[in-house]
Amino acid sequence: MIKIEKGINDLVLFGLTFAYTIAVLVSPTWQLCIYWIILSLFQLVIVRRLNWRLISIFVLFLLIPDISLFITSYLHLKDNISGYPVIFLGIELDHYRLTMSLYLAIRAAALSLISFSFLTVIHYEKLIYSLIQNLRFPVIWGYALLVAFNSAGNVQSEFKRIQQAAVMRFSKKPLFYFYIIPLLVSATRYSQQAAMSIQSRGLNQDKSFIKSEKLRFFDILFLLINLSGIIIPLVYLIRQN
Amino acid sequence: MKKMKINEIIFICVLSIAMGVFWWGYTFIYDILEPILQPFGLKYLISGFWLMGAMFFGYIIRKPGSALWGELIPAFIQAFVARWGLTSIVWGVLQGLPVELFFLILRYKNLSAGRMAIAGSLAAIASFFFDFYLKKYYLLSWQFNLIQLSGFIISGAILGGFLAKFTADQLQATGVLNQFEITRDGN
Amino acid sequence: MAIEQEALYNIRDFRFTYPESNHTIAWLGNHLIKEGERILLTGASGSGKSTLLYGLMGLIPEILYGKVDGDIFFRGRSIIDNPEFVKGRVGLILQNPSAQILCHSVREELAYGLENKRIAPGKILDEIDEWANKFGISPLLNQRTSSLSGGEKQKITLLSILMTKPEILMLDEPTAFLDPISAKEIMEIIEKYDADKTMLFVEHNLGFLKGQITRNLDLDFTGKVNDRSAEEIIWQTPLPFLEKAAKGRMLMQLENIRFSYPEKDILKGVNLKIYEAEIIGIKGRNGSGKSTLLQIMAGLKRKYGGDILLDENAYKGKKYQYLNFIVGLLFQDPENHFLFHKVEKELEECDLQFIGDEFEGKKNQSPFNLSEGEKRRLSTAICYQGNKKLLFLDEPTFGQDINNKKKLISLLGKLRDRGMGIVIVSHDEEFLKVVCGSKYELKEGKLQVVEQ
Repeated sequence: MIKIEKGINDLVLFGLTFAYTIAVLVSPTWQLCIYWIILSLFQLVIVRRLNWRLISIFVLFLLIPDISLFITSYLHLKDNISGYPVIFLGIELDHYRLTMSLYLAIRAAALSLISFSFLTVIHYEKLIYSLIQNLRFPVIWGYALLVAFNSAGNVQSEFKRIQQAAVMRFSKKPLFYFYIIPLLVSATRYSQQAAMSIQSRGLNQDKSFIKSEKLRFFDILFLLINLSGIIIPLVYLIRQN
Repeated sequence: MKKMKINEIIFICVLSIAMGVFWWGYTFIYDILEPILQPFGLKYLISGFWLMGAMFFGYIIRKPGSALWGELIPAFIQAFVARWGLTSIVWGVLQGLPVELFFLILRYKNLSAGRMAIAGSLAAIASFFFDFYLKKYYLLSWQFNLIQLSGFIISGAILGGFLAKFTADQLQATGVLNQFEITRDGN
Repeated sequence: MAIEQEALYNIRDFRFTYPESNHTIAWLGNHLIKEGERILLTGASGSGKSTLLYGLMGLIPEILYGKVDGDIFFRGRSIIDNPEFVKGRVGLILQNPSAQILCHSVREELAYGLENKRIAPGKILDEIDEWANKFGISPLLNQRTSSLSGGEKQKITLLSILMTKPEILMLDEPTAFLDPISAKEIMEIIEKYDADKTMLFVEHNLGFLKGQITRNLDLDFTGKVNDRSAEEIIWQTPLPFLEKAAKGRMLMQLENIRFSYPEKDILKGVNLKIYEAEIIGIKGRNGSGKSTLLQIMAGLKRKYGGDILLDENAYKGKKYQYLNFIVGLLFQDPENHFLFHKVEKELEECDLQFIGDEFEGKKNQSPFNLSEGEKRRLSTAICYQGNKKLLFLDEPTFGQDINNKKKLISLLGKLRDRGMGIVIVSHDEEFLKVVCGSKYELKEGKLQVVEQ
């Protein structure tokens, strides 16, 4: 584990998620997609602690929609190209269609898995502070998002109370969408109070921060190493074709 | 058309969390139905629900940027809770931008049910267009793609446009939206 | 020799019309607010007290949109025309403790005001430590804001604002969500900070303000302002006493109820008997387990120790479902009970004539659009619908002014006379005194008798 003071900046990790996502999107083979999964997870393991249990559950969860995607692609690929036949479990399959479907399915899985893994280690408040301090992200949106994340607990308890009130009234839990208006009314009133509070306390785009999230040398270095690790192989492969 | 004020910005963010509860819950329904519907090309019939953000907030706030941010902020929040993670944000921009442009052309006035449905369809078409290239649908047959696109347009109009307007109208009837443009336009 | 203090504020015939509802509030006449004054704004709900505060804060028209007539001057400059003039110079504390929290950690929250003034981070951290020591919140510094209680959140918000040294402090029902002890602590902080701080209060809960107020501005619906000095303030309009009635048969008995969360034991053996036609009051600190107790009694929590005894012959099947059926549980926020878009639909199953009459003209309105008092009475009616034998109320007087409390007392009396067993959990001592036949306190997990 590389011990860097305070760890890699969340903004860099956020940016890398995009970089690896684009890498997967432009990759022409499924083997390459798997390579990106391994590489990105390796980077994460170096700089943060990964919750492997969560990720394994996620992978299991991913299997169902991606198998469905595999089957869908196999059935609906255009008929004009075909490869040689392959026998698998007594069924005759087309090699081209097999590879293509595998490619599409694994590609989708790679996108989800990489996104998910990165997001499990990013802290939203550090990301927002980093955006404000490094990229001049508008403070109003930054703090509005912070307020919104803070309101999550409030939304949860309101939901429970509305549900309890409905159970007491109808002796059963009402349908999902029924809660929406009471919940939105509560959220609107909350947002009105929050707006008054922020407006009265003031909001300065050039405010100072007691916690600095400014990018440091190691953050940039880490970013550049990863980016070259992504761009160079891709350029090489594209030149080869 | 005026600039968005601080209470509208916070409104979008806080309501995105509240609506996020429903989008998140809907993900479970989607996860069950999608594997079944997908081989038939019908999975997009239920996809329109996530397009709702742009139209819901655009309809209530009616200021430049409200539709785009109204899709982007829920997408950002979704990125932390939904299965497809960061790609939500990319899709958020792609889905919000056409609605924003459409509303800008209309100058955010007279947002009737029909226009909301059109907005929903536009978002669906734009989103499908990007799915087409990014998910490589061009490798699949044109018949299949046609079914998918039609499903998405219907879904975008109904679960996106109509549902957004319906929910927003109900919210306005409670009287809490008196400070927003929706009340002043008197739709 | 009296030194003429410069007026901080000059309010001149201020009137504000809300959009859509065309509801106008007015503060007629010329009113000066001087430094060192501590003013209490009183008046019926909806008369315009909070609106004036927002006007003084410079939030009109930025946050609050509507038609303004007349003017408000801050140190001689009109802040209706230039709201930025007052920014950063006045502080505002609102009701909802959670909504005012902006940051993730307590330190960041305290630093917020000073960060806005672009003060160096090192200096800010030193100031935070200094203030934390002075006001006794050092143990909270490293915590997440989400783990704080309501009282702690209000304290942090208050300190964060006081650190920016505002010239005047405005408080809009800051103790609404708090228990009396937290409310007193808030006042103590302000006292400790600056005993002569200019302050403006909007409050229904007058108990902890005694001795703090120098002046009272009382507003009525026509816009007329009654300017009273401290001695003339009517601190307590006594609430009408509710005649006690004879109890009927026993409806429910709690026997040694115990409940614990993973970290600690909340209820350690609660015993209670509830009879027909009686009103019981329960008080206790926030966090003592009152809400949990009510939820158990309503059948909303099933894993508890001890037993709830009911009339065994009256039902088949699960006990908690029967409790859901016979108990009405009224939450602190009446809006939690509204599920339909018309008042009419909410009252569909209500046979209470006296309730129905009040809402006759408002049948087609949304329940969310009613006044505070109406919402409270509507939600009470909703909870009463459908064979309920027991009614449990959680903080029913929250946010209610004198008139609405009187109406509530009358309503409860009528419900009691119909044979309902009523339990009220409240901080409002006076209300409990006039309404309840017996009073208990929930302390250390047990109910202790206060009065029979």
